[in-house]
Amino acid sequence: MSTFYTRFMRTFGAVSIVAGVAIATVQGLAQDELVLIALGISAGWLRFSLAPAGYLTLAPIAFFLALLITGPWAAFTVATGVSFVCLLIFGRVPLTQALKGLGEEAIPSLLAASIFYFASTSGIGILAGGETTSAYIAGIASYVLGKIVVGSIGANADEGISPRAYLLGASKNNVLNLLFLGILALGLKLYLFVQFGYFTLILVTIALVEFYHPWKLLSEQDEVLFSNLTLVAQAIDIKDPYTARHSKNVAKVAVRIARILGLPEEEVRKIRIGALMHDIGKIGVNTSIIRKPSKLDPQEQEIMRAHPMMSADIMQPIELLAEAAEIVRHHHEHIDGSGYPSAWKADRIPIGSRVILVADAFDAMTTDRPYRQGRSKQEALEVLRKHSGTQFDADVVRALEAIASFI
Amino acid sequence: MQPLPRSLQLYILGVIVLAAIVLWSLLPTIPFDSSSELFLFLILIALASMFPIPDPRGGFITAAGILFYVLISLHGPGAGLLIAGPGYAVGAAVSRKWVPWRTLSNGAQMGLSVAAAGLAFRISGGSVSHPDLRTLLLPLAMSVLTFQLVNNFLVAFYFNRLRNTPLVPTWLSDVKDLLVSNLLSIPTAALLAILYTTVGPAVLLVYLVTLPLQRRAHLLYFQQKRIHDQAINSLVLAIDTNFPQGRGHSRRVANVSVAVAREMNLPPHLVEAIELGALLHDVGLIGIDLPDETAAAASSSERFREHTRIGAELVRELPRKGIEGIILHHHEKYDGNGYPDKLRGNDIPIGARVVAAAEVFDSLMAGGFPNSKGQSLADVLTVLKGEAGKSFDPRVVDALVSAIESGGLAENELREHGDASTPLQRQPEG
Repeated sequence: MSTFYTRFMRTFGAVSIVAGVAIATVQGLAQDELVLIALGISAGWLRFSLAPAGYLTLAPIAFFLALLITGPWAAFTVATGVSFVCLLIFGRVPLTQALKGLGEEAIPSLLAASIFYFASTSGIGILAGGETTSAYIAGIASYVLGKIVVGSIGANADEGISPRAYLLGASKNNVLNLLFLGILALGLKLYLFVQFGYFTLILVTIALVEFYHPWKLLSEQDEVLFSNLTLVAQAIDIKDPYTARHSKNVAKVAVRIARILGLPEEEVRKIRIGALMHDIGKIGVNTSIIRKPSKLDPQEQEIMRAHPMMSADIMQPIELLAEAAEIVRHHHEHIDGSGYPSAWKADRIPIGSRVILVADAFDAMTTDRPYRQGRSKQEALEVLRKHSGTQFDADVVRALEAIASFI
Repeated sequence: MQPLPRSLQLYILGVIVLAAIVLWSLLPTIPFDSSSELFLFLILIALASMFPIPDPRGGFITAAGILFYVLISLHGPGAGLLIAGPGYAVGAAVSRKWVPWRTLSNGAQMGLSVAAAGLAFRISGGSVSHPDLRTLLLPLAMSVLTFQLVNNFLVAFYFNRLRNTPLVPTWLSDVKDLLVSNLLSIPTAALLAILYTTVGPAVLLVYLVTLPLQRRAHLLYFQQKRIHDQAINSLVLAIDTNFPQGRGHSRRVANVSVAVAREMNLPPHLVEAIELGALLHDVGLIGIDLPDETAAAASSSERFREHTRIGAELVRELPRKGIEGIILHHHEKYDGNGYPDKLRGNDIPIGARVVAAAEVFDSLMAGGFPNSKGQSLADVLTVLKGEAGKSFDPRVVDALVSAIESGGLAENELREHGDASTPLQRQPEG
């Protein structure tokens, strides 16, 4: 199943490879382009994910330099070559996804190359400093613009992330990075390349990678953290083999709901941690109770109902998890006050807890159990709708409906 | 403050005198006509030395180091000594603490190292006027290497006098640890030197402005890493409480395993994997309710044995490699009588062999499942030695014994019940 967006980008990616090769054959592949492609690939090693979607990379520096050194069409070849190789090697994605990623990169590159071409040939000297410079500035501006537009459409099509959340999150860093690289490339061309050639450009590439390295480490550290937390969550989940991926799934759904609700990134992070850890208190609950297919007797029920508090008690003393502990403590509160442990109502319940309750219920309903088949997504949504306003927060349920097709 | 050892006093005096002699002999090479530029370097080096940036690869990012290399490539070894020594001494004195003898010896050591690096740059024909690989990068590489060798030797010698640490091993391991991050600073240093001559000294100021940014990112990284490690550690501890071996078992097994791995001189990435593997070795037990049989019967039951597979399955998705094998095979025996795969000898991953011995060691020491109460250290070691070659890799047992004898593992540590604040990975000492 692939959306129109995916198919379009894949096709565009494939076409741009062909176009890149065609340009290279027509113009003849000069040493310049090859060196720039090699530079771009080296710079592309520096690549890390951004929240909520997309990634930051140094690879565009090669495209920017190529615009100035080899002209717009050869630069397009450089851009496609670099981003395709980087996607395959550093992005570690399969070929079809690399084509899609290439399409997403080729559109802004093509836009920038065209603008650069027309601006430099028609000679619209908007800015002082020579025609190439102003054409270059127009080119960079259109590249950045194209990148943002394609990125936000993509985030919306792939993940259901609202354009607003995307623009406030990932794109800010991306724009800063691209503008910095754009200005840097111009300076390099004017001050170093003319005099010393590629030697200095290679030095700059290494120095840049070294400079950005801590941010890459920082971003990877986050991935390590969440995979470690997932591991702990799954270790608890396998107490019931039928829910082995429960916490992981709940976290995925809860994060998506939180983004649709337009919650700030720190809140989303808190919800992600809370959703992963919400059942950790079950570590102390006997497996025979967790796995029991029939109705629990009152005493067993009492034990089960204590688990949000036990989870929160485990999380509370841990610096990283303390903030999310409150969310977890109240993830079984109902809007009408019929939940536990505090029987809080409506807005008194933290928004994170309301999100996790819905995500938790949705995953529980759609999962198969030994004694019954899981409900379909539609049926589960139906149930959630029926109880929204009493058990579930109506806004949260609506948000889930909006992204149900992505789950 | 206690007085310094006599030999250390002599050493400090010697270094300072040596620095003075070298400075005097290099005096003619110092370009005093560009004294305002030298003064700029002095201030920048002092500033950069005030804010050391910890490097995740070990040691510190040498912001001042980059300036040293720019300085010697532009103005030669004599200027290097004259400027780098005092600049570094002042910066270090401001950021840490003013201790006259230490500040002086720091400055003299640094000055000598930079002068040596400058000489290496000169001898290998370095020049900034027509920069390319042969005229700039290779000489810079030579000077980085020289700097590292001289500086680490002086530091190792200093600590050899002060704390009796072994001289040559300390020296070589320091050089090894720091060389990569210093070599990686060459491109930046070369660029700054080139820009200095083409654009002007102001580029150094631009570079200096970016330093706080880099420093912030690095400190943030270390802080995050500490918080994350602590979180995982505490979670493991919470889970531990529900294991039959009782609270703290996993943490202690991890500590013993790391000590053994270090004793065996395993590479750092392996030590790291062993620590995490040891910490999580029983994670598969969570899903298993042990029936209320006798402990011995339970530990041989089919269900109990499943925990190695379940655990390995769980950690498969972790980004770090090598942990799965440790968990899967930590109940294999050296003679092939273990489970689940009856592997034998070196077919068992080294990490699993280490954790296997450490786990039994801890169960015997601390008591608990499947042994009811703890035994004395001597008894435990006798048991382990008796099993060397049968249950355990003899080299692992040797390493464990010598880790305990050398004091790498203190006895009180071996019985404590885990502390949530113990960091998972030790930070490089600053």
